[in-house]
Amino acid sequence: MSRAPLSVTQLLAPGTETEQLRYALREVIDPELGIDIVSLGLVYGLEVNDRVAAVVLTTTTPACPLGQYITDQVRRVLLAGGAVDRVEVVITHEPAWTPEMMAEETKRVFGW
Amino acid sequence: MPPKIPRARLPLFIAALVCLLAGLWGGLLLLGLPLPTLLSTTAEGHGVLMALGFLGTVISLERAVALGRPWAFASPALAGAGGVAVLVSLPPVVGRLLLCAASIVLVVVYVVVHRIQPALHLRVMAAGAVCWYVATLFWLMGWPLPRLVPWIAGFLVLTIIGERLELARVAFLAPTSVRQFLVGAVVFGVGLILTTTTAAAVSTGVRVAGAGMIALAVWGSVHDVARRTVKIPGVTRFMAVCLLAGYVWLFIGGVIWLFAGDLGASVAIYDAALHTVFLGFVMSMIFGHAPVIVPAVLRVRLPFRPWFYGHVGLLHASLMVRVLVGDGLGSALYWRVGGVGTELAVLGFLASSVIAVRQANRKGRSA
Repeated sequence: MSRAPLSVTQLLAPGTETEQLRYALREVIDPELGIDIVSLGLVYGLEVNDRVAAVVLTTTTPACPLGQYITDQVRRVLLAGGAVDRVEVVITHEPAWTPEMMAEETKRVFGW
Repeated sequence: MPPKIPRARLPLFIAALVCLLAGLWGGLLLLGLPLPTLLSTTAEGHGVLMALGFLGTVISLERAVALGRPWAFASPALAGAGGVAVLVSLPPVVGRLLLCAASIVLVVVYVVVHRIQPALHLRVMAAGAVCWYVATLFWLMGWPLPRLVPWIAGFLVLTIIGERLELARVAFLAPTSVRQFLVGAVVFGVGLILTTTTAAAVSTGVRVAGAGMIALAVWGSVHDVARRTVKIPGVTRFMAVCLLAGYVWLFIGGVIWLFAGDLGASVAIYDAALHTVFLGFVMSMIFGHAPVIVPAVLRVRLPFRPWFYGHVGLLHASLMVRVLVGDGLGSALYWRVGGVGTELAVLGFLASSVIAVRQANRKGRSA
């Protein structure tokens, strides 16, 4: 799976801008699990309005200190793509993340 | 623009580092190296400086960052100050009180986190913080440090194993595996409690706690997600290797606790019983998690470098020399060589981390 930054070619490709940005977020990897945050189901929401991206994220537990780190990575990846000028990130634990939220392919990687 | 380093966290990190370096110096003195005693407490405070001054500060800092509320940073601030107070020979009660207060704040942090999202793994980690509290409470009551060892081990083992239980959920934990985990954790906890009841029960308590450690090590070896993530190259594999190697030492430590009973029976047993757990299990986990925790806490990049395996390899190899040959066969030379090796591994870890951060920083600026 390609994890290249969001390019102009991608922006011209089919799919909404939001879908393309969501795809770009696959570049943000949870270092401990080696899996991207989209596949882990940690991205609860993503909207783009007037070149501003609003992202709602969670962590696997509120005791996890990686929230700020992942926020920084999300900002870096989305701004690097050039499709947005500002990224607002909110971390929430409502609803609580559960492993069932992972993508089917990711579940298979972990032996479900 | 790269994220700004949160400057308010730096003094906490520096206090942890001071405790670590002083703890290492004290370790060299205990190994019998002809070095000057910097302060009267340098050797005496070795264990407390390492386990509470350094690890207590780092772990509570990690939780405070996760919760993100300013008051939660009181825990690492008190732990760091407590460690430094122990080091600089303030009246003993000062350091003990500060470290005890730090544990209370940490317990409150877990209570708040648990209210956000109740979960078993959080209760396990909170039990770890309670162990820290119990250790410092008994210390305030004048108990000697060796009697506190099981509780200090309880703090670190339950904190780490609770974290691992949380991540193990991604690999579809069956109810039976959760029950197996609980059996191990409860046996371990019962052992700790037994060590504080009557003088006659101390050995039994240590044996029971050892059986609990064995059960938790076996559980981790079977169910930890590291079994799967070790196949993913880069930092993920590095972390998994550190974790899996740590379980081996937790198992060995558990066996020593189980069969020794009296940890103070000999210097060799005491040395092996403590360092299999605190160095083999805990320090290995710290090495593995540094590439994640340092960026999370300080917002600086600490990219994985293949040479990180150097200090991990040195830690485990020298610990083998220290415990198996030095303590096991009674060779003072190998005990000393292995001991110095483990210290060099920790220094190598610090140096590798600083170099990797500086390289990433330079690259970031020139990009």
